[in-house]
Amino acid sequence: MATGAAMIGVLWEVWAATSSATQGLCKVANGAPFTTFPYPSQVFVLTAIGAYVAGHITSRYAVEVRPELRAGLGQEKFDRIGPVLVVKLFATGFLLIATILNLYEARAFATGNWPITYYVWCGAAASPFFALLGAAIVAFLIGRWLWIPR
Amino acid sequence: MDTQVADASVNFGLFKASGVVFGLVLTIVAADAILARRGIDTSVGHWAQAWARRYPAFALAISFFFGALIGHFFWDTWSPI
Repeated sequence: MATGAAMIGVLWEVWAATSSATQGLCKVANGAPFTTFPYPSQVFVLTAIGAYVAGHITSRYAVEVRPELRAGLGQEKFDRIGPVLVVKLFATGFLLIATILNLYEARAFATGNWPITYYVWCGAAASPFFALLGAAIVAFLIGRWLWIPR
Repeated sequence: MDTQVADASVNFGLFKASGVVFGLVLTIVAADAILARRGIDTSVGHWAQAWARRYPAFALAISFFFGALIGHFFWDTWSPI
């Protein structure tokens, strides 16, 4: 509940800032945003690495407390066909969307539009805290979900 | 080199980029809440881990992809000037 409220709050703040600004929220030169963020880039990278490791460590505790969660998809506790199909659908859908976004990114450079990367850089320059938060959350979830404990 | 402020048209793109990241987290939180309300003792994360156990190579590839993505976005190796 608290996490959901926090995410809604973050989205509201971002919407308020982006919809009320009369001009862009970052500096550009030669048509591209600066990549010199208010925090050093090492802060972002090291925070993401730390969050990734923290995600893995917290997942190890979860399976130690509940060993029945060590099963793979389609086995034991995770053998209900409905949720199995939903999970596989999400995984396939994610890979498809990632492919489409990468194609858009590549095409953006060819057509002169801003690629997604430039928007992320602009956002990191405008609000490095939210960019750091987003990177940390994603890295934590990847470490918790995909770095599977034995 | 003269620097300028970005055009206002980039602001909606900024919202879309942040909306994807934080909106996805919000969706996951909502899904977990629905599962908890139904009395199901496995969360979205538990099913994701089960998928990773079944397909470890895909899990490794997706982990690498996100690591490369974060490095691409935030590891400062280029400047426009």
